[in-house]
Amino acid sequence: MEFYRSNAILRIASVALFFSIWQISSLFINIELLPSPGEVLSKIIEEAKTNELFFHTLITLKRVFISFVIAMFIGTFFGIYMGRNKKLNVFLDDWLVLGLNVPALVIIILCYVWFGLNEMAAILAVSLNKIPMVAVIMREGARSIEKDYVEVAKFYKIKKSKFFFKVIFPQLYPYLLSSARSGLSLIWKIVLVVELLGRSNGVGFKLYGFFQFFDISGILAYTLAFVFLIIIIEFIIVRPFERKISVWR
Amino acid sequence: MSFQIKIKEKIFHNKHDKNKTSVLKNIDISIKPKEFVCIVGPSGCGKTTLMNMIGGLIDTEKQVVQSTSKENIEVEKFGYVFQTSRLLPWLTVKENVELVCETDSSNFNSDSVDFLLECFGLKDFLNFYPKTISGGMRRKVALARALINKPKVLLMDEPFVSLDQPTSESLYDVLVKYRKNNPITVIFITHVLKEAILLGDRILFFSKKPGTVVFDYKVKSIMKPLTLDNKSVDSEYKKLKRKYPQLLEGLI
Repeated sequence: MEFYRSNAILRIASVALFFSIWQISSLFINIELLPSPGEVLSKIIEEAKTNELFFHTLITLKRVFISFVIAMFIGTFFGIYMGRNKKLNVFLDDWLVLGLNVPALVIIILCYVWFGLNEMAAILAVSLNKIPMVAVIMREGARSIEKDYVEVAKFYKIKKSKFFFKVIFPQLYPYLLSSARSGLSLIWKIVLVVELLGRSNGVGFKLYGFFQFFDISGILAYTLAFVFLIIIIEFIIVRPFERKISVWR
Repeated sequence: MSFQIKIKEKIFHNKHDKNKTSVLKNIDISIKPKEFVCIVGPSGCGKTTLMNMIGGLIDTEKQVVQSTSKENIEVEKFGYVFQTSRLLPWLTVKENVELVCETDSSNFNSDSVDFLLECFGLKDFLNFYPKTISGGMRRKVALARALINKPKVLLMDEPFVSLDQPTSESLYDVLVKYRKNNPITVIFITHVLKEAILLGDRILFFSKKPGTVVFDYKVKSIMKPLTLDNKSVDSEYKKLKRKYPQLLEGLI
């Protein structure tokens, strides 16, 4: 209990320090360039009152969620198969290198040019950017699967579904969590670029509008609101899930 | 169920230097029903390879085990206690045993898992994770996992290695008590000759690589109490060592 309390105090102190540095900096820098936390907060309230904030944030969140699920499913599937099948790995390895190295912006532009400025192209562009990274992490996970446990399953001829969910999958949890965490942070950044370039709603679209008018308060208000949302997801979904699956440790 | 283990030669190919290594050669072992056969031999003589071949973990296409009775022999009727307990750390004690059961079959009864674990003194540890129980308990769970499907043949590859003497002896007790009520065939690898004399009906001594049976020894007396300090074990051990001083090095 004492441990959790001291951790909570540390976290609060860290956040307080961040906002203090921001507040002090805003006193010395032109208010147009760096508004104070208070001003950003009033902008958040103002945007929330008109429901603009909720509308655009939820649209972005929806895009993040759909792209995330698609990227995790496809990346996990190919990653596991590449880790377990040497021939498939050799066959797809160059594709993976290509996918990892093509700039995100190129994929976004190509998707918009090929499929038009629509929702499908936006989701596809974000997913394609993330799939190679998930596949690489999951491939490493599949390679590190303990042969001893596989032999136990093989000897006792355990059913395929049971073998996957009870023997293989639990060994992949740390890799899955790692790719989910890095995925979430990368995807939401890419979604903003996608929205900025070719959508008429979402946080990225709003940021573009604020940029046109040099409205730094608006940019920071939406950024802060979305970061806050991602932190909530981390604490409500990711961490409890992590605790649940690592209870045996 | 009597059966024969036949291997002409087992060769391992080294991928890096393309060398071939003969690990086992001219193996022809007949095993009688309910026999407790111990295999003793120097390190690297192919004991574990032999066990994995019997268990169908390597060279699955080869028919290594052949039935010599009317009853068909199937690997499904085997249980295997590996050298390390190989319990899945993310599953509890009970879940580890249930893992190898056909849980969705109509024959499955969760109580039988509880009962077996209770017999092995693990009643209070059903929901514990392997990391939170002692090494000796983990071996007991591994033994329970191997026995839960009521196998006809139990393969044991140095199951009590690196355990202290009292823990090993408590496990001998568990194994012997189980066999009293369920007389099954056991093939038991060990490098502790006294353990082989104490538990086995028969001891097969293996040569150095490529491993082959150099001496087939029948254990004469029934050993009680089940301790390695047992006087009969000691005298039989001394007798063997005197007659064949290099037996444990695979030479006769």
